Amino acid sequence: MKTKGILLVDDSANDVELTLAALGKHHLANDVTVARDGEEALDYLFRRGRFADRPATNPVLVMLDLKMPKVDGLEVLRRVRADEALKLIPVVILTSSREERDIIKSYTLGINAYVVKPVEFEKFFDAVEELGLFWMVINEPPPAVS
Amino acid sequence: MPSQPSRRLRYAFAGAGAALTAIIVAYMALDLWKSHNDAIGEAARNTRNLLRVVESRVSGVVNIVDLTLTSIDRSLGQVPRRGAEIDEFLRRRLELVPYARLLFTTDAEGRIDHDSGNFTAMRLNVGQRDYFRVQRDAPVAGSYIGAPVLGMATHTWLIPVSRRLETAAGGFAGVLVAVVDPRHFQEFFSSIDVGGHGSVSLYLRDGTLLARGPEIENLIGRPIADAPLFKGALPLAESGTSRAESEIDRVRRIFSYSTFAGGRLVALVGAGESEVLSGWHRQAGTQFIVLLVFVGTVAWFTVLLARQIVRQQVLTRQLLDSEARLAGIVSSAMDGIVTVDDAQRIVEFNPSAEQMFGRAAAEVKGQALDILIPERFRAVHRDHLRAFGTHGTTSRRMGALSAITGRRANGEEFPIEASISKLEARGRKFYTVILRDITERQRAEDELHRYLGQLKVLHDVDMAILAAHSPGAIASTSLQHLRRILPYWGATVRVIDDEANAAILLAYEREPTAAFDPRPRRPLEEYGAADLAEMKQGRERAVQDISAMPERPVSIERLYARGMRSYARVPLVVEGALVGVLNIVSDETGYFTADRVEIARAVADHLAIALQQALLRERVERQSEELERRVAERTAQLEEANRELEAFSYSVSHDLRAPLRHIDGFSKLLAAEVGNANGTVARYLDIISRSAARMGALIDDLLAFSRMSRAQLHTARVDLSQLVAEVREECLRDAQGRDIEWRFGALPAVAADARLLRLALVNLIANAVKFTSRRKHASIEIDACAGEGDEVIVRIADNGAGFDMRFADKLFGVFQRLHREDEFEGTGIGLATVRRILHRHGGRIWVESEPDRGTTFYFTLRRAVEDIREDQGNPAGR
Repeated sequence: MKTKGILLVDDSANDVELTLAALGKHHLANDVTVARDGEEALDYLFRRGRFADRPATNPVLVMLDLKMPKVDGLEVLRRVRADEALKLIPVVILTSSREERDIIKSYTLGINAYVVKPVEFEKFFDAVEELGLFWMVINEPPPAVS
Repeated sequence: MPSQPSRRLRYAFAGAGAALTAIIVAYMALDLWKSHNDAIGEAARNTRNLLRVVESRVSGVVNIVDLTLTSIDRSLGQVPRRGAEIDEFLRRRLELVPYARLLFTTDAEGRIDHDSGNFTAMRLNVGQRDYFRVQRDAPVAGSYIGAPVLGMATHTWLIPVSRRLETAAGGFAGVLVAVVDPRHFQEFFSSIDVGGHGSVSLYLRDGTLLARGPEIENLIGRPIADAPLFKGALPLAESGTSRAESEIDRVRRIFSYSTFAGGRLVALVGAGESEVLSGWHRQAGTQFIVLLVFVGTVAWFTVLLARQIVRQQVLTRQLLDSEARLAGIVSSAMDGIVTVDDAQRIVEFNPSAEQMFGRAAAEVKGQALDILIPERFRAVHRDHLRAFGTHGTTSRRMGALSAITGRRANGEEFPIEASISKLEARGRKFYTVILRDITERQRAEDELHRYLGQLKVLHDVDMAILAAHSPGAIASTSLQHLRRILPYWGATVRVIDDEANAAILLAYEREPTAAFDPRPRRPLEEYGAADLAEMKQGRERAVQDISAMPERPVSIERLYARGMRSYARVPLVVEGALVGVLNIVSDETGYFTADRVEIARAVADHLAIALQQALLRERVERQSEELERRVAERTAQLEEANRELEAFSYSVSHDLRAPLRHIDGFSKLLAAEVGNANGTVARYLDIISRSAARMGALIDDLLAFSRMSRAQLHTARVDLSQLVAEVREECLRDAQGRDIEWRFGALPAVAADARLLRLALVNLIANAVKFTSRRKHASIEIDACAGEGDEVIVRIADNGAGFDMRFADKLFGVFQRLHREDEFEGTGIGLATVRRILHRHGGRIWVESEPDRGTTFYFTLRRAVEDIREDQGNPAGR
């Protein structure tokens, strides 16, 4: 079941590396698919472009950055929640923004959690680690919509 | 109050009443006096008659006794008798004299030698008796009636009647005495009716009482010589009538007396005065009562009469006064007053009527009323008056007010308002007509109507002005309404535009057929300096005949050619400023009379104010539009700046943090990669990490601070004590193991945004915890007190490091720190945030501090609304 994996959407290569490093600590990194912007994320989710051939299974978790080139995180979120097949996927916002506006918008669109990326590495590491463990190990994912 | 004459009249009446009463009293007194005298006279007559009876009876007795004694004396002398023979003789003779009790004789010594009884043996001697001495010493002729004596044998009073016995030689031989019993007289006297208080009595001339009826004990023999009878009356007249009080019983009597028996005896008959006068007294009493009644009646009638007369007099005077007043009123009345008789001839004609009709009263009196009425109304008026006389009621005042027409002496007719009333006096009917010349009033009314018409138009103008919004509409409406009362050929309203230096046409009106075409713009210089000055002073100008103008300006010449003949120009001046000008032109010469100019003036005045206000309004509207436009511009700019700022904040928040995270993250990863690096490498990596962390904190605080300004305030009731308790718990997490003494005062509920207030409290309390960290024993006090109005002053005091108050003004600035980073860590943004939060709540914050002693922060908040109400309900609370 765990092969369904995580979709990590982040335009920052550094953040991706740090995130993967954190997830790697518990050997969760192998199940992570990285999308470097919103468009790529949508391609993956809707199995378009280079992801057209991927198996028709949804990720157990989408880790979504907000501020991204082309299509931003909120737009991705809106599309996901609007789609019958995708709307139940747990989405966690993982962002640098502590802006109230962002938090409110995100929750309004139906996120499952909002995590501000801590500046300190240890905290960041812990946060990502906990997220990965919680959603992939502890949390029971919604049943696949056929 | 009665006046002088009426008082005099009253006195006259009182005098007359008194005089009448006096006459009657006098007459009655005279009558009483006469009847009194009559009563007395009758009593006197009665007593005199009775006296005569008494006198004759007593005289009779005395004569018989005297005769008896004379015959005895003679018989004794002629026939010598001895002893017992004489006694027997005397006895026999005594039987002839029933009045006598005893007959006796004495010898010359007074010894009784013979008697008709058996006294001789007793050897009684009367030698000492008065009568004996009289007969012996000074003999009187005939019998001598002596003073009564108490009988020696009988011991009763007896009257001795004695006669001298002489010897042959004529010497004294003794006395012969007949003893008369006074009771004989008494009985007789008592049988005479002289009334209860009357009396009959017999005296000796010397006043010795011999008998009296009614009888009174122990009176006989008593002398009353001192009585007035004996001292006064008897010496004057032997007999008479008199009135006196009795010496014996003190009763006043009317009595008659007479002396008889040779002056030896006095008889007296008296009638009690009270009895005599009792009838008179009754009469007097009756008469007195009658008199009283009479006098009372007279007085009463006098008073009534006097009053009546006085009243009559007053009434008469009032009537005269009233008549005089009425005459005064009639003659001085403003209204004409004309009285006519039933033949409709003028009887009265007052001065006002004279003036009104231009005729003298003397001239019109006796003439027919017709002369005051225009001929064509005369018949109608006569009928009207007659009808009024026939059908009108008799009331004095039933005037019907009606307007009629009068005719003056000069033939001029004029309107009259008349009221008529009818009066009947001594069978004749009079009509009084009160007339008022209402020429003036009608003119005033007409004037008033005209004026009201103007007012109505002015009002319409005002209403129209109110309804109109633009100056053009106001001017146009005013001109339309003006035409209703002032039909003109054409009219314009121009407004003075100082900037354009011209009078701009705002509106114009004209007769439909008029060739009036004003120019839209007239340069001010065309008016000329003199005209402009005149206009600025607000003076209107009316030119009645343009053809007569010596020199016509071009503009006027142009309109003159089109038919204008006269014009009026009324400047529109408000508060000394020339706003515009109202021009009215006519195609008639002389059209602008004073009245018409006046109307134009009135409309112009209203128009001027309205116009000025409309112009002002227009200007204000223009300015406010400009203002709005600028505000919108500025708002747009501000919104743009705000958006930029937000975008900036967002970038800072998002983009600035990422590199820091990478620095920190990769330095950590590097450290792990390097493994157990030597001390220097590890320290450098640590510094990199900590710098990144600090940068992150700075960014967070800065963002929070900038958010403070923009975030919306959600004010609600916040329980300050609860919030403080929560914040304390939060702050204590970073102060594990420290000895901090917390002291809380009562903290009220406040009106605040809970989230922001919490942030402020976190900053302040965390500060207190932080700056007391070097204290072994830290103390933090938080309490509150009431400030002005609903203000609450909260105090947070610590005994921490404190600071120099010289730097107090720096304390609340962004990035301002008073301690080194290695002393107390911090970003220098916290207090700036606190101050901003409090300012946004309308509060203040200030600080007191002393190095090494501690710091006290004060800030103000508003008390929660419900709590204010509670406090007002319970002033003693808190």
